[in-house]
Amino acid sequence: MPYSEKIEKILSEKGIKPGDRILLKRRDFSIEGILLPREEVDFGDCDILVIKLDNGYNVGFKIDDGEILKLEGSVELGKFKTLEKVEQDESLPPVSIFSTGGTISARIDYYTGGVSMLFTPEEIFYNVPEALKIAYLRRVERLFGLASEDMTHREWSTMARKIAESLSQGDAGVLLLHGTDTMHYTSAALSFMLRGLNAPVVLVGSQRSSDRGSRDSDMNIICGLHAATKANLGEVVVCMHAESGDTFNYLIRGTRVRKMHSTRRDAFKPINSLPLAKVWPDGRIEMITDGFRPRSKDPPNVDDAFEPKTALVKAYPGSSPEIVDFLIDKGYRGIVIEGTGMGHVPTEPLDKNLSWVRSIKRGVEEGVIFAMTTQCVFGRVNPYVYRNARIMAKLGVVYCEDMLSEVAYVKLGWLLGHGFDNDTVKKLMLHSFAGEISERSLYSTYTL
Amino acid sequence: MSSLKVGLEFHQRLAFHKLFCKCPSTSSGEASGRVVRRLRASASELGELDPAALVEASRSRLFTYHIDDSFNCLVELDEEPPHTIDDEILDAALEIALYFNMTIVDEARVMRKTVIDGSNTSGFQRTLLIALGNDNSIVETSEGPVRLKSLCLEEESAFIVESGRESAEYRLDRLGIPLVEIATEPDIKSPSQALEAAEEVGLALRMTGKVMRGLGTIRQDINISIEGGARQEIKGVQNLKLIPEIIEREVIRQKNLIKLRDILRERCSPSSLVYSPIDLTSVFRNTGSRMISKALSRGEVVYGLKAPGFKGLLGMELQPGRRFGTELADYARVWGGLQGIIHTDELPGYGISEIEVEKVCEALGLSKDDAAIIAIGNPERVEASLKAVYRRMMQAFEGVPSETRRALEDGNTDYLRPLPGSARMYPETDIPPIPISKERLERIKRILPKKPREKIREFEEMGLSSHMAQQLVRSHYLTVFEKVVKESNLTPLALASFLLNTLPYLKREGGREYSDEEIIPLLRTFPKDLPREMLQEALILFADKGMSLNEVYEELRRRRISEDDIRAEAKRLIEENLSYVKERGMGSVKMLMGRMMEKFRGLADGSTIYRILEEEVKRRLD
Repeated sequence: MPYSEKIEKILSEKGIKPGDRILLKRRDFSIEGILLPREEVDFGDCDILVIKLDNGYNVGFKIDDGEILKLEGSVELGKFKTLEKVEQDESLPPVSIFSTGGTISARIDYYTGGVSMLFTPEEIFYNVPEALKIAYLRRVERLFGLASEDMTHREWSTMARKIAESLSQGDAGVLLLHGTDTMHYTSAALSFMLRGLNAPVVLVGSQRSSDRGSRDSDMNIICGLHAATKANLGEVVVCMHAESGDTFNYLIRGTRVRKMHSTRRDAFKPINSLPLAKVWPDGRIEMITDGFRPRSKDPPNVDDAFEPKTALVKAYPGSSPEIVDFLIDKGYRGIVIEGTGMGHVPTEPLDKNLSWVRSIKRGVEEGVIFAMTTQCVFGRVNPYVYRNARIMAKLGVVYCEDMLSEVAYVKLGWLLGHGFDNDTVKKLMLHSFAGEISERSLYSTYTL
Repeated sequence: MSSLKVGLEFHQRLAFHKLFCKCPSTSSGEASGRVVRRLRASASELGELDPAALVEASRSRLFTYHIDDSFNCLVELDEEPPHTIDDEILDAALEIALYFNMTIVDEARVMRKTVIDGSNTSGFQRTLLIALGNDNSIVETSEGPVRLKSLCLEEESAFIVESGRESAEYRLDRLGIPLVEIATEPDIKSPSQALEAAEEVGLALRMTGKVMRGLGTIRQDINISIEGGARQEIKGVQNLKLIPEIIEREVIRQKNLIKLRDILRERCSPSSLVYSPIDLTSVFRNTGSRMISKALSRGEVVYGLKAPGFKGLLGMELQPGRRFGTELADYARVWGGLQGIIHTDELPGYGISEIEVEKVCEALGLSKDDAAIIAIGNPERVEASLKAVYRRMMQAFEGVPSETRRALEDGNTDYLRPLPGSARMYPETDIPPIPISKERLERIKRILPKKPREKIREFEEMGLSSHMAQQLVRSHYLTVFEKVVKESNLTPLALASFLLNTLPYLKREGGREYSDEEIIPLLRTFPKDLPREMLQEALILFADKGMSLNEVYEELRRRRISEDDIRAEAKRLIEENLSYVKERGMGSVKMLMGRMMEKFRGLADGSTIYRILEEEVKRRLD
């Protein structure tokens, strides 16, 4: 509780702690209410007491010339109500739900506004009663409570194993609740790590917190469950709002999806491809393309090797190749460069020190694999149009076609994890394992 | 039932851009897009759902938002977190609080107040309490002081375009406009005192010059409790003058509900009222009632609910034109989405025959004192409606239920929803707490506007009559006057007369209300050499005919009548009425002035005409 030392001292002398009902008496006025703790990362003034008034408002008051007294009627803060067990219809298609953290798994403490990564199966039923009519939630498990940017390949691996386990136990599909910021990295990782899916693995998240009536999570879960139980898909997909309105969701291939907006509900867009399907909350599913992989017969194999010494680097005007040298020195084995345009880095700047050629050449010689993608996000890289790209290709940089930078990063780490020789890794980078590369660039897939 | 306690809540929009983004607070133009959303009931503070929120959740309505880049951004669409509050907006709210001598919090914290009727896209309204009342923060009335309780700064809700049973449409232009909510303690003891307090608060708000003016920019809620009755929150009174009427009618309503309870208790006990609706659809299979036969052809059903002991009470008038049956119909509408219900006190009627009424009585087993409620619609709605009606009838045995009610234009009220629980508020985590320093408050205190009384004195010193000064202080043109009086070539008296007389006159005569942006530049630059009578024409040329101010003044200079022309006309008039002039002497000037004005109104200064006329009459008589 980050009150100032001065305030802490006064409180402890009076035996007052957050949650206690207090009376603050100042010369000109007095107020009563529940003392609340201050925020952990505090932008306010830690000499100020935060008090919840009986009318529901939180206000901050200094003690100043006054005094505080403890009253009867304290409350227990940070306590979430245990929800009652719910009867399920076991004749419905069985589904496992794994929560990993993020906004969709976060619960607000209504007193303090603090957020906890809390998650129980009952909460799904409580917030999304519709779930009970769609699926038999055979297994609901909280894997971790991580914000999505705190994820690593270790968590991807855990998820892959749990999912494979559930699918081998006969689930019709799996729903994964995930933070949205790096959801597309996880969806790519699972796309590579789960080989031969016999059911859809559906990632859903929330762009709005669950406390508010306008949350998108419920509809994402509902549509996600429909997809998990009914869609004939043997793929990892992201199921999020297709529009700003609560109309329908898209199922987008895990290797083709990217979060394209920091806040909107329809932030997730397919890149260089079309969505696989539309899903409506009432259960309708409409396939948009026929280029999807249907459910396989057998449950998936887990192939979750990963080389953590893999990096993603962006080239930009004035960018120094020192970053590449640093990574080489640190023993990195694979570096994805998000180049400009069709896959360019500085090769002939006026300041020769800013040319990337020497560093990349050195890296290649030391056995580092370089892969090139575009920071344009949309479109394909091409090593032959401009000279500086030709130089890179000549050095042995792999030009990743129309693969997303994030996907290339995950894929390179995954391939390197297998201990293949460099030529094999380079060859496999250009092999499409999970629809991450397409041979044709379609006119209709540029969706901005 | 004698001791009446009333508290008022004022919602006054501030004249700034929106509270949590930079969108303008003035709406313009057509919406160009639509976004469809649903709101879901949220688990509230203790994991419980708020009763008011449940009403809406049980309706699961579809909300369509009309959007346009000109009046909303992603913040109003709940697609982007709120931006921080601008200092100048918070300063304005602080100024108002200090003007009322309230105690300012040391740190303001933005809260989310759950609202899921669709009027807020997020499902909550953002609000922050910035001041509390104390012994010195009072509004004086002739019937005693009224203490202020709290002042909050909050965001305005979206404007409702259309509300249906299953859907509602809102425009996002109004959503997010900053407003202050000022609540009084329930110190008001009479309808007239309520009006006086409301007028005083409104006046004080205008004195600060920080508030919007015009229809809908201020509205009042009334909290009423009556001993022996129950507390009510009456929402959305836009017309101040209605306040006493609403209070009086609420007192009558509660008195009648108590009367109704006493009669009911004499007749039977609550245990005789049971929820067991009977299917009456077959009774109406061949009905002559078009309303019912239409419903049946749509596959709807007719159900009846026995109301033992309620005979005559359903038709009992609670407020002029509103019966107990109307209250029950409110519940059917709000909870079940039915347009209305029928009760036996109003039968035969609606094309329902006496035979059908008899059959209904028979089917429900009604005896002498009994009545029945008949609901028509789809089965789900009928059930939800009858359950709500049943609950309301049970409450009739207790007396008056506490409710949130809506002010109607005639001074009556109808049922809106239950009173909100206390679990409706929790912290807005997207905005950090806002410490308010002593220095900031000192700075604002130094520039606090004058109190109305001081202001009136100041205006009198400028040469305004005491009546005019008082009128001006109470006028929504007060800020316009203050903004221009120092720079204008016009005298304070001419300015006040234009704002208080000419502008309302123009509106009355089929014109329109002019905005500050139209009025202020004109008053600031109106040239000395033009007669002030030409102001009115200048405004029309500038605001309605689209001329620039320079063009306007040039045009008016062309039209202006010279003193020579006036003198020539005066001479002509005198000759024409020579005998009258000779007979009445200087007394004839008055009549001649009337004639002169008919000709020169708006083209020349009245005092100049008068002076010339006087000179010429005098000369002729000499």
